[in-house]
Amino acid sequence: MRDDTVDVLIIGAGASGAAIAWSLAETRMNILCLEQGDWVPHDSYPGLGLDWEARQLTDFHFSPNVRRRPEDYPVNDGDSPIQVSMFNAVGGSTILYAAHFPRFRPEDFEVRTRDGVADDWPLDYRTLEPWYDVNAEMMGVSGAPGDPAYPPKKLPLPPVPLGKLGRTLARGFERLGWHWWPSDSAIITRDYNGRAACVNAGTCLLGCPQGAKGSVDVTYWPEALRRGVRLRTRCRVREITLGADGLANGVIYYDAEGKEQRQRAHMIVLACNGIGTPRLLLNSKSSRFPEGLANRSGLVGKNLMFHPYAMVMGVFDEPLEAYKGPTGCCIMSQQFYGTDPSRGFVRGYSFEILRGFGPASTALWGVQHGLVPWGPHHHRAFAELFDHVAGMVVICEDLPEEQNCVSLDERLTDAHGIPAPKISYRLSENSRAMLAHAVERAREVLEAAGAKKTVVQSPLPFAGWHLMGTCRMGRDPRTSVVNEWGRCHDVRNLFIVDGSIFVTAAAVNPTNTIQALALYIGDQIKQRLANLFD
Amino acid sequence: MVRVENRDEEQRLLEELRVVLEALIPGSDDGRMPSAAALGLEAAVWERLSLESALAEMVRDGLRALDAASRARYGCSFAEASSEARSALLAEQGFVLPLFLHALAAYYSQPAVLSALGLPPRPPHPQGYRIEDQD
Repeated sequence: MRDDTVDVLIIGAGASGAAIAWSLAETRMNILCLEQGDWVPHDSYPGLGLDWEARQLTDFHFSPNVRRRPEDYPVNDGDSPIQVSMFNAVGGSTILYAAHFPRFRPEDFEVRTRDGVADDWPLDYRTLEPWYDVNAEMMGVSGAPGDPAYPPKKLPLPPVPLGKLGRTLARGFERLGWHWWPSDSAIITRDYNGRAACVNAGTCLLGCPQGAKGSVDVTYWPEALRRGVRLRTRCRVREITLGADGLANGVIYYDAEGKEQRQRAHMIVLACNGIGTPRLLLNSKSSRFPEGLANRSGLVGKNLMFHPYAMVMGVFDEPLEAYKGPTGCCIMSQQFYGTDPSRGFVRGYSFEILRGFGPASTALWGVQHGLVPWGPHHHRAFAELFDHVAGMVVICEDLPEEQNCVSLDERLTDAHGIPAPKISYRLSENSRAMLAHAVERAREVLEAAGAKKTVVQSPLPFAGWHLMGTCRMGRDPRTSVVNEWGRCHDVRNLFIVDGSIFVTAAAVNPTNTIQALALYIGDQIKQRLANLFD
Repeated sequence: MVRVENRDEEQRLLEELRVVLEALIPGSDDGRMPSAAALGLEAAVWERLSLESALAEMVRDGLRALDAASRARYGCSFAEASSEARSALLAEQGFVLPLFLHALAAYYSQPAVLSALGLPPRPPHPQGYRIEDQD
């Protein structure tokens, strides 16, 4: 049994765990991170093989339930129209993410004040702004300055190329007079900090062999390790233990050989995402916390927010060079971002233009939508689609509702016998109305850009990429799990830095904000070291 | 892996699979796109199917049922049936759609197919692609 007490124990080596590990490293404290997955060798990424598209259906599938790698844990998401997506590795879900990297807008932090729904955050955009800037430098963010939807922001690299596809769709937005802007992307468009620039291979969602996409195994981790942080992989934490003084004193975990181990710590930071974090807290029961650790509010696992997505694709007459370029990063529009009461719902959504599909994905997508038959007409139907399909996802702001939650499944467990998470989630009437509005506007803009046909998928099923809200942040211990700088109200040496602490979800991808929050919390910890646990 | 009983049976299964793949993805009329059978995809498709035993069993049983139905209705094997008869028989079989999806994934990753589509016959990495306005 290992038993060396560390100063800081971070659980999870994904987007937020990596950022706070790097942030705290300068303190020279003894910092250890436990990660249930392993390093993913870049030469194992599908993009280096001809069968790269097929592997998105197997060992690089978004869903841990399909992928079923040894390091994955099952998630019972049968009671949800949106299936959970995540990856378990050094780098976490940044290994598979699109690296679309918008910030929250200033008004996203004050939804209650503006629209009378959900809650305001206990911090604001100005508080996070310097940490967004640090994150932009560390991750290598590309983008075009001057977006009227945002205050000025730091963008170290020029934007990803629009290509013929992007220019074609931008034409549609221009014709309608709608907002559009090149996407902020955590993808380096020039050689940067020892990393080589993007080569527009279009395999972002399967890991980037080039290392141009900012997954944290190539951004924060090398720096954090150089600064002395230790990272122990293939270690799955079962529970957090509590001392007689009411402080967390360590964890019990299973090591790479499956042996039970104990790791003591003076302070613990949870960075396991919006499902893994509440799962671990709910699995950490004690006489002091019979309903799960740090759960006196009863809100651990509650208020789960995804972003309800729809995908709307158009078929164009002209070829678009659609398979080239970063998969999920091209241009975005926030034309319908804020509340307009005439639309019949509160809050709003973003459009995010996607690149087109590779050949195999084109065929499979065509079959799924009844556009590509087998038999004598196959090739003609395929030729009408391949390199002629372009479109977008709409990403809707999800509002917190207590019945949307993560709990523990009574029967399902992972390979170590640890109870698995169970998701209960329904689309609200507000989300349904928003999706319907967004789909019609997406069709409108695609037609304005020249699409002769549109194909809609709403809601998008395997789109539970964004896992938020299940340990929400706030000043009042009765209505939140962590305080305004990430410390659990109930356990003064336990911090949470992942998407669990989001109060609201905005209508943009969350990773940039997750990391800015982790850096902010790291800074708060450093500033308060003398009386951190008071 | 789903085991077949002997080499003769495996050969028979692969031949039946080849005929079905030919019907699902024939060559294009203009001769530009090769057929799945011309590329010899049956072995690769069967290997992939065999990773999921339930799926492989469904396809194996389906191939037998297809041949039996052809003999009962048309008095000949599926391989000997007319193009119209093959289409009608395939439309009735539940295993065809999952088989088709696997066949597509295999077909559209062949260098010969990528070349015929005007793409470089290689994986996307490490060379990537050039976008005209990238600079």
